[in-house]
Amino acid sequence: MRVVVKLGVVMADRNVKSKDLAAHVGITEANLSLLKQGKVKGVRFETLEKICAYLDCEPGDILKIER
Amino acid sequence: MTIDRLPGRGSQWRDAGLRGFSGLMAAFCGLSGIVLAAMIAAGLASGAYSHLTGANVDWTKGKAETSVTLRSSLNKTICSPMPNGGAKCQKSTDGISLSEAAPSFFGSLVAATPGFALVYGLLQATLCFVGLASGAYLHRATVSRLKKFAVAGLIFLFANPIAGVLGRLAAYLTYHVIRVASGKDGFAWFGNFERTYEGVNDILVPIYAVTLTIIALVMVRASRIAEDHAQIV
Repeated sequence: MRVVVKLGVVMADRNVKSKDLAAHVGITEANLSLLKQGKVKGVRFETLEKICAYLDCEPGDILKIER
Repeated sequence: MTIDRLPGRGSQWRDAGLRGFSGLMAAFCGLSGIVLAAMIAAGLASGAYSHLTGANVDWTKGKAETSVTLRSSLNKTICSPMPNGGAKCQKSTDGISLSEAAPSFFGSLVAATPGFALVYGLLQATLCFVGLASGAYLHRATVSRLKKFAVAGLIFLFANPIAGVLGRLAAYLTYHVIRVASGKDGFAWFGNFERTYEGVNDILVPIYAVTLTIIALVMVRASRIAEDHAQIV
C-alpha cells in the first residue's frame, strides 16, 4: 500500500502550467516538479490547501492510495 | 510517482550503545559533582576553622597518585591609624573575632564561586546524560541542560584564576563596610583565599571528550531529521 501523487494528471486536466501553480502556492518549480513525481517526504497542509484552491479540487483528487 | 516511506536509518545497536554510555556518563558526572561539592564544603569548613582559631589545617588522605589535601591557614594583616596620618600594620596569626568572621566567610564563599559553578555544571551534565540515556536526544530540556553545563564550565575556566583575588577583595570590602558602619578605625587584610582544584582537569577532560562525541552522534541524527524535513514541500 502506497500513496500515489496524481497532481500531474489533475494539472493536465485543467490545463494548468507548473510555473503558474508554483507561483500561486509559493514554492519553486523544482519542488513542484518533485511533488508531481512523488519524490518528496511529505506535503504541508498549507501547500495542499493552496494547490486545491488553485485547481478547484479535493486533496483526494491529488493523493491516492494504491493497493 | 509515489511517496516512499521514511527509511529506517536508526540502528538499534547504535541507539542502545549511545543510551548505555550516556547512563554511565550520568553516573560519573553525578559522582564527580558530589565529590567536588563535598570538597568545597570541607574547604569552607577548614577555612572557617583556621580563621576563627588561627590554627593551620593540613590534612591529606590517600596515596600520592590519588589523594585529597586540605590546607587552610590564617594570613591576616591588621593596620591601625597613626597620629601623623600613616598606618601601622602588623601580621597576625591570632584567630579572628566573630565580627571579622562574616567578611572572612563571605570572602571564602566568593573564592569558592567557580567551584560552585562547576558543581552546578556537573549537575546539569548529569541531568543531560540522564535525558540522553532515556532517549530524549533532541528534547528542549536536554539541550538546555547541555548549554548550562557548557556555560558553567566556561565560568569555572575564566573565574577560577581570579577567584582568590575576588575573595580577598570581597572580604576586605565587607570588613571595611562593617568597620565604617560601626564607627571604628583601622582595617584588616585577609590574604588566604586561593583555591586550587588539583585533578579537576583530569575529570573534566574525559567528560568534555565524551560529551563532544555524544553531541556529534546526536548531530548526525539531527541532520538526518533536518534532511527529511527539507523534503517536505
